[in-house]
Amino acid sequence: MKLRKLNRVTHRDIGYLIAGMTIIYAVSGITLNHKHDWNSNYIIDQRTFTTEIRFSKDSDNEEKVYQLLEELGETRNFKTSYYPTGDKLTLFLVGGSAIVNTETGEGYVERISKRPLFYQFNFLHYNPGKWWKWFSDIYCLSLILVTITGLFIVKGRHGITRRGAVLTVIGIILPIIFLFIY
Amino acid sequence: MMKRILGLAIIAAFFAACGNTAGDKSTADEGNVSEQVTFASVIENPEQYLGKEITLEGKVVHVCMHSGKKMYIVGENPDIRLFISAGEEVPKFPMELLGSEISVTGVFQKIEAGADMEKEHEMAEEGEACETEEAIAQQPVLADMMLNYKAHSVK
Repeated sequence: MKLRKLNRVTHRDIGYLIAGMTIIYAVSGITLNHKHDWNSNYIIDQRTFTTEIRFSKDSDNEEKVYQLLEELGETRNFKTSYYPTGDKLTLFLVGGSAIVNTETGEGYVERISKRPLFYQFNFLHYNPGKWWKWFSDIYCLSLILVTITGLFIVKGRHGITRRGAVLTVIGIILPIIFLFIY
Repeated sequence: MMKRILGLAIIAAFFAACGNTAGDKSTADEGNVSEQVTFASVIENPEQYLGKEITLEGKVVHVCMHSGKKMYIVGENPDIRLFISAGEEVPKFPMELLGSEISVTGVFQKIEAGADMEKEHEMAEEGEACETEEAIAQQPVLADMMLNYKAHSVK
């Protein structure tokens, strides 16, 4: 097999093989870039409330906790409470939590559910285990191979010796510029 | 042909959706012997357990929402938290663990300087450095200790 044909076949077949992985890493990469703006792992549904019930460290709060749960309509979802030093009492609920400021009585109930597809993509992106780590290493090497073979697919004026060379150099210069900016 | 490809894609998506999380893992490594200890005894004498594999019980009060690789548990004293690190060998901790009483096994160790900085960096990135990290820094004990997670079970 000629070298150019081998290059094209390698580029094509490995390209097919890693298409799914590329989508997973690209989509989760974008969402992780913007994790301060948008929680791609979980859908968080929040509602605020104000209560007249006052909690204090000195008293037994169990009855008051149930009173608050009654007010919130969350009695059946109650798991346990957490009240460290400070003015924040957390009630852990099935599928979420309720947090109340014990000084002001203001609080919110938060319901958390996994965001379909994005949760799974991010799960994989964060290296869930050693087998995935090796698998994703192979993926990354394949990506390098596809990139290098891609440089030599086209011959002539659109190839790597002319137009291709200009675009490739631009692609290398752009991240270097960012290095200088930062 | 297209139908077959679509069918395969749906099956693959289904398996991805069933991502194995630490929440499903409910047994300790049967072969390893870990010492059953109380949270209180770890607080009293942390040095005694350094480098040992221990199992202790506590309430999960924080799970990292982004990486899912970190969680914090407390014992009877709600102000003393223990940092549990999943490491790279373990899938993420599910949010469902929040508020659960668990029995957790791992190697008790000091947070190394590098790991500490990495942890702070990650938490700052996640925007939740904040309360949990600040609270831990105030702790009289266990502020610089962690449990390198091996297994857990929900009680």
